[in-house]
Amino acid sequence: MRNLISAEWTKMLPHKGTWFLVWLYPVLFFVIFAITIMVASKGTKPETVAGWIEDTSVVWHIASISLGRYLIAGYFAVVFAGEYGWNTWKLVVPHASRWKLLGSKYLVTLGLLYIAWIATALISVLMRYLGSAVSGEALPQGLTLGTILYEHGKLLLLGIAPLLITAGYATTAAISTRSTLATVIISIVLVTLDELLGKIVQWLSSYGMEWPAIPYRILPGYHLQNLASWMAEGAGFQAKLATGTVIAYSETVSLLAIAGWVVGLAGLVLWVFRRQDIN
Amino acid sequence: MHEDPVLEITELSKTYGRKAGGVRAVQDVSLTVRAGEVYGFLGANGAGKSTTIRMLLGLITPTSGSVRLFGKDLRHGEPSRRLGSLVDGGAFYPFLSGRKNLDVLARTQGLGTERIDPLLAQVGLEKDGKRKVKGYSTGMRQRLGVAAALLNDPDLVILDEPANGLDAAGIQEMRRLIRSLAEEHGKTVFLSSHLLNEVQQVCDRVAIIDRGVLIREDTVEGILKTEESFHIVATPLDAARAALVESWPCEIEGDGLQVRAGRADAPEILRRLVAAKVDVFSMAPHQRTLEEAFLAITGTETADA
Repeated sequence: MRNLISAEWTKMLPHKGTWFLVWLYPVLFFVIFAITIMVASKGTKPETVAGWIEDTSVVWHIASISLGRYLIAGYFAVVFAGEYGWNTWKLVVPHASRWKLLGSKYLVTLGLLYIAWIATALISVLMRYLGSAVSGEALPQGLTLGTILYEHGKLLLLGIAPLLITAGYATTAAISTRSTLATVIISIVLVTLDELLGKIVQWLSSYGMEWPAIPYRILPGYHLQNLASWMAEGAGFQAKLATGTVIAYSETVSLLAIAGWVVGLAGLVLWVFRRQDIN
Repeated sequence: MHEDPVLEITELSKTYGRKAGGVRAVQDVSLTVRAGEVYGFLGANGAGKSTTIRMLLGLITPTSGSVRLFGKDLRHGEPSRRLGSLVDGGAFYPFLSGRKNLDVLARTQGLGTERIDPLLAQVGLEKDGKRKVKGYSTGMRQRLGVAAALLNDPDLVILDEPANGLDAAGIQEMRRLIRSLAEEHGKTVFLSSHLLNEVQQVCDRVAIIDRGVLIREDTVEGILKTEESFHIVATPLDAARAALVESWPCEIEGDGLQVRAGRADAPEILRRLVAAKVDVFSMAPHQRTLEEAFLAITGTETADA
């Protein structure tokens, strides 16, 4: 497996898709912070600890917002469906088990994303610190390395579930359709559905329709929102329908639901790929 | 060459789609490849060559049948470290250099990188190894494919159309390389090709597949021997044909008669023609090429094999 990870790493690192969809984050954040420093005026009002950390931890929200999830899906599409486009599965499949090839791909793709995000978070903290120094703004009282690490770590954990679900959508579409474009389109539809289904269900409930709440309870959208709410606010997310029904689940139920989706989608990808004829 | 079978295929079949309306790409193909031989796999486009090769490599799941590799049953999806392959010669990561592609492949197989440079030199790509593959010609990709097939120093090398895209000099070089793999390095080579002239020059034995069915497996000499014929210039041709057709397959070709028969039949053929009052001007043995034999065996009209 270590060999396959090393092979995947060697292959993906110089790829343009990796440069655009992974290293985009540190580069973009560096540029944004640099511009902010340049236009910042002296004697800016001091920030609170929460505000200072919020400024430096935007990167960890990428996995939770629609645009970020589209970019993640695009990256997984390039990596997984790309092998069909380049016709290269037949180069590697005769030499390694298919589950190992998929596993190493998952690990390297996720690993590269996290390396880029950690680098982005580091750049954000350093550039924010530099910005404070340049503008003469004092660091907020009580801001410590421990606080920064704790808050960043919390947000990192918050992003794992939507990242894995998005990766699951994209890899399932990639292995099934064998097309990068189709994978991107399907993933955009599914991610958008995750975001919009709650609103659609609430709107339909105002016409007395409650059956759309059934898929909403099952699909990952509600559970992602519920987990995020539990982690950020310490309380679950409640979807109150016009019919009077309240959809609310415990943290454990949502965690199990998301775990089920992640394992289910990964299992589906493996099942399809193992049976797939590579012509 | 040894008699030990390196590869044994038994009643291998592949049907695409549901059984009722499915397409039977390969039907009950059985063949044996012995250690140290160069084995040619011939067939027209769509005959089932590539499907068979992909089943050997675990790329396609057989519908039925079995494959034994080095005496062991090959389970689908189980990689064999003693096997090297070239399928679709141009299938490489276009954004990587030739050398980097081999590096990725070596890592995939858990191999070191020490064989990469000698192999690039062996296939004549030592100067182009650092160039990205997307800038390679078809022939260069093909040669890189051969290097990739030899990366793990395999005992059995499977080459699907290795001469595709090569120029005359490249084909000659490839022919030399394939023969040297068997003769100097003791490797077994299983190759499919549509260049029958090349197959005739490099292969010890061949199998001919047509519409998914294996119709002939023999040595090249064996196939050519049974395809011996005579070209007879005589008049009248209709009478000549009538005198011979009951005993030997014959066809009128131009100003002569093509009679498929062995050398030993020559006196009897002449006697019958004389008895039928046919004037014989010449009778010349015609050694068919493998291409002609292939066309006769498969009954195809074109040379697109």
